[in-house]
Order: sequence, then C-alpha cells, then structure tokens
Amino acid sequence: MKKPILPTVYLRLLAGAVLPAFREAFALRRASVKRPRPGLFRMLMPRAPDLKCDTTARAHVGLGFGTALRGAVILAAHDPVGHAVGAHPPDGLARFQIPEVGFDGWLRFAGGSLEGGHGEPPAPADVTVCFPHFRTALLALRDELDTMAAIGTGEMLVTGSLPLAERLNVVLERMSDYFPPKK
Amino acid sequence: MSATSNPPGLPARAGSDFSPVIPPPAANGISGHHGYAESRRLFARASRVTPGGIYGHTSPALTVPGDFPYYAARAEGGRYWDVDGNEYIDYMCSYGPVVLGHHHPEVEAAVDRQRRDGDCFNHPTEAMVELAERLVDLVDFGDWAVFGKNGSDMTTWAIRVAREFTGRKIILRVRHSYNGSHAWCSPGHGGLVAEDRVHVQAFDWNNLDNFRDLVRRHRGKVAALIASPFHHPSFGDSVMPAPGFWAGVQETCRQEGIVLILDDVRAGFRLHLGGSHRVFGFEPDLICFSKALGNGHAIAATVGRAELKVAASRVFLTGSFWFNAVAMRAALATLAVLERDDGIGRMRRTGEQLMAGLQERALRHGLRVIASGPPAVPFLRFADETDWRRQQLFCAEIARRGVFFHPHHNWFVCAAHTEADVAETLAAADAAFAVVSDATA
Repeated sequence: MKKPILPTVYLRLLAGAVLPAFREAFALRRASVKRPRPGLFRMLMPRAPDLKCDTTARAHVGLGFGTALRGAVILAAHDPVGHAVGAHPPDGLARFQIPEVGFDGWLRFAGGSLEGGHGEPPAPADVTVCFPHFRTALLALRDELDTMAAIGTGEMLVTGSLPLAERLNVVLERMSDYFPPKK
Repeated sequence: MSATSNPPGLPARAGSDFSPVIPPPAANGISGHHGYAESRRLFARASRVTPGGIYGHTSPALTVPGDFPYYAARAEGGRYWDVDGNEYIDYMCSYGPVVLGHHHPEVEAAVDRQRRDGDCFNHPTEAMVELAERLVDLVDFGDWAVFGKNGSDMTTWAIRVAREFTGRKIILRVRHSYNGSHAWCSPGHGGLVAEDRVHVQAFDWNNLDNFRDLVRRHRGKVAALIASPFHHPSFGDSVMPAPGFWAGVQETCRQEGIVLILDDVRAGFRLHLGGSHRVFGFEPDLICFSKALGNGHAIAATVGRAELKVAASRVFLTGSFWFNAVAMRAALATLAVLERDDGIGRMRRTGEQLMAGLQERALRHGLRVIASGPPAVPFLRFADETDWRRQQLFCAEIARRGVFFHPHHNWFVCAAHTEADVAETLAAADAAFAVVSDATA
C-alpha cells in the first residue's frame, strides 16, 4: 500500500462539497437562516491550531472516518473505477477501529458491490485496520501518514488480508478525483 | 473490539507497541529466541529517514508486523541471523537469489579474485564474454546474451526488443503476475499515469481461450507475450501450467509473429539449468534471468534467439554498474557449482521432503493445508482461509522456533539445505501447527 488506508478524503469531501453547499444555501436564505454555530465549522473543517485541542481533533477524526466509509460505498456503486475495483477479488469484510474516539466501522466487498456500516460487523473481519492512537488516525486523514512505516512501528495495525485493505484503498483514493483538495 | 483484542479464535496480538502474540521466551519455553527489539529499534530509526522505513518487497507491512524480524545481520549456508541474534533456517533465500547457500566458498573465492583485480572499469572484462558464452551454451535456443543488474532491467528491455523486432506496440501479460517494478507492470499504484499501461493487456493464467481472444482482438498489433513458467502470485497459491497451455501459447505466438518472452527471474536455475521452459516443454524467443544467477551478487541476463539479435542491438541498454566483473565471476562460479553438484536435483529432493513433511505434520494437528508450486519454489497455506490470519500466526510461531517462511510469498529452497535442516524445520512446524490448532479449536 502506498497511501494511507483512509486518506484525506474526508477533508476533501467536506471542503469540496458539503461546506460550499452550506454556504450557497446560507447566501440564498441569509435573511431567514442562522449560520451554524462556529463550533460546528471548527469540527468539520478545523484549522491546524484547532487540532491541537484534543476534543476538536477527536471529533474531527470520528467524523472524517465516518464520511470516508460512507463515501466508499457510494463510489463503489456509481463510480466506474470504484465499480471496476469491486469486480476483482478478493471479497471480504474490512473493519476499521479507532478505539480512542470510539470509532468502529466496516466495509464489505461481496459479489461486486460494497456495503458498509458502523458497530459490530455482520461477519468476522477478513482484515482489521486499527489506529491505537487517534493522533495517528488524524495524520492519515490529513494525508500526512507514512502508512508503511506506521504499520512497521505498530502505530497502525493491519491484521488479516492485506490485499483486501489495498483494494479498499483504491476506492477510497478515488474520492479525491471528485473532491480535489482546495488550493 | 478494542485495539488489542484478537481476531476471533486467535490469541492476543498487536497492541500499539506490538505486544507479542505469545508471551516472551522465558514464559513460553522457546529457547534461543531473543525477540525482535533490535529490529524494531532500527526500524524506528529508519522510519525517520527513509520513506516506509523499509520499502518494497521486504517491507514489514507485507509480513507479520511486530512478530517478524525486520533486519538481517549475517548469513551462512542455508541459515541467517537477524540483528537480535535469532538464527533461522532460511526458506526465502533473500527472495530467491541465494541458490547455493549464503556465502558459498567457491563463489566467494571467485569474487575475491576478481575484486583484487578490480570490478568497475571503463570497459567490460573477459568475464562478460565468458558468461555470455556460458549462457548461450546452457540455453537451448540461445544465440546471444546481455546483462543487467535486476529482473526488472531485463523484462523491460526484453519487451522493447520485441517492439523493435515486430514494429508493434501491445504487450500481453498474465493478470496478477509479477514481471518487475517498472511502470508498465508495477503492482503498486503510486506515480503511474494511464499512458504507462495503455499498450499492456492482461489475460488469465492457464486460460488459452482468453489469451487467443486477446490476440484476435489485437491481431497484427501484439509485439510480445511475457509470462513466468508457472504462476506465482503473492497472497495466493502457485499454479502450474495446465497440460497444453504452453504448447498452445507457443503455437499461437509463432502463427501470429508474437515474441514469446519467458520471465524466468524467479524460477530460473531452480528448475532447470538451461531455463525453466525445459521443464514444461516449450521454447520461448527470449528468456530473462536474475535472482539465482549470481548466488546473491547483483546480476541479470537476457538470452535470445538469433533472429532477434539485430533488434536487440538497436535497443539501448546500459547502467553505471552493469558491466561490473565481480557479479559476472560470481555467476560463472554459481553455474559451475550448480552443474557439478546437481544443485537443481538436490533442491528438488529437499523441497519434496520439506513439503511432504509439512503436509503430514499439519494433518496430524487436524489442519488442512494447500501445498503448491514446484518443490524448489514451494508454498503452503491453510485451506478455507480468506483472512490469512492462521497463515500469519503459523509463520510468526515458526519464526520464533528458528525457521523463516514468508506468510504471503512463495518460498525458496537452496542447495545448502540439508536433510537435518528439513528435520529441524518439521519439528518446529509441529510445534507451530499445534499453536495454530489450539488457537482455532
């Protein structure tokens, strides 16, 4: 694997789509709609100084990984590359865990389609990707993690089928084609 | 599941500090195992100054991170020692290059003699001529030979020779095969653009219809087919050629004017001294060697038939160290010893003994395993397993007991392995299978 299992797609997703949509809506309905509380913005798209705060960083990590798993399911269904990746083996279930923020999600390739969810998965995981420390997961979200080194040092634990993790990574990386990072 | 909880049915492993799968030697009674603390310490240093810490096929991420050695210290014969002082019977043989055993005295004597005279000159040496003559003698269809340093040097150059010879663009290869680390065939994703592979098409191993369909679809445009003599994917069983597969491939290639390239980088000089095609009854146009050719010294070669020699002369081929004499002397000595001592027969017999013993020991513990590949390049994994966890546990356990098997990549036997090594391996396997059996009971 050459890139983080879960890259910065979340930030890109939010930066590229969700927040602009919010802002457009606010522009149209400025008179009648209140702006979200500043705290929400800090949570969704934090500035680097905000991430020094553990509370903000933990929430950001949980939201980010949740968004990434959901996005992967959508891409596998509708994106040509994601769909093509789904057509190749291996099938199986991948579980993603960040215990420090209580994140526990899963994705499952089966018969060319991808499904996902949170909490206890419906079957034993073929591969488990675990970030023992949420700060490592944060680096992965921000595309600042040397994944191969992190696996070697134990900062990131991948147990089970590495090819399945790699296959999911290809789908996740595809997100950045839809939501290119803001310059 | 917490960060340190287990895969279902397996013992605890892998906390953030890589809490060991099983307790340390003092508690678990595995004498002589010193843990992997120094490996981890070096890796922590490396990860600060080298991308990935260790990159490529030896990356810890591809093994059993935390439960495997990361760094080697020295080697001799069929064994090596890691930086923590653990000794292993080496069934990876440096992922293939070590075919006679580490630090073979006759090879190293030839190397020392050449080193005293010099290695890297303004010109090639007589060793290059001798080695080309030797390979042309050994390879039945061979009329000429060229040299590089790695398998990828040769496979990439060979497809260019095929394109030069045919004036065509398309290269056919086997899906999920490994032909090197260059952009047209790299298993990685990073740094590639679609144009790198726009003229590369893949078909399924052993599927002649699939291959012929591709040839029909691109009739008159296919320059070459490149494939290994048997299919040896990582994270999978090795698959031998089906009856008639290679004969059919050869027939179609001849009919359609397609250059048939045998990528014998991994299996070369372990199945047959004259190229692995001799085992499977076909004849390629080009054959690429590396790995075992120099018994650990960096050298690669392509041998080709006369019709391709002019085209080969037109495809630029060089590298700063590609004419170095030491590796060529190592190759000449390696080939001489392999032939004199029937090294290939010896590896086959050792491999047969090893694999039969492993299967028998697994069965004793009620474990179903699948053995695949030729005896000298074998692989074994647990049946009915999609997550590789029993395989990883077995390899971690047997490594603690002094045997180095890779969990996801085919293994290599060398001519230095002895019957005593196999007996010691099987005793260790017995204990490792017991752990796996207990864990999955």
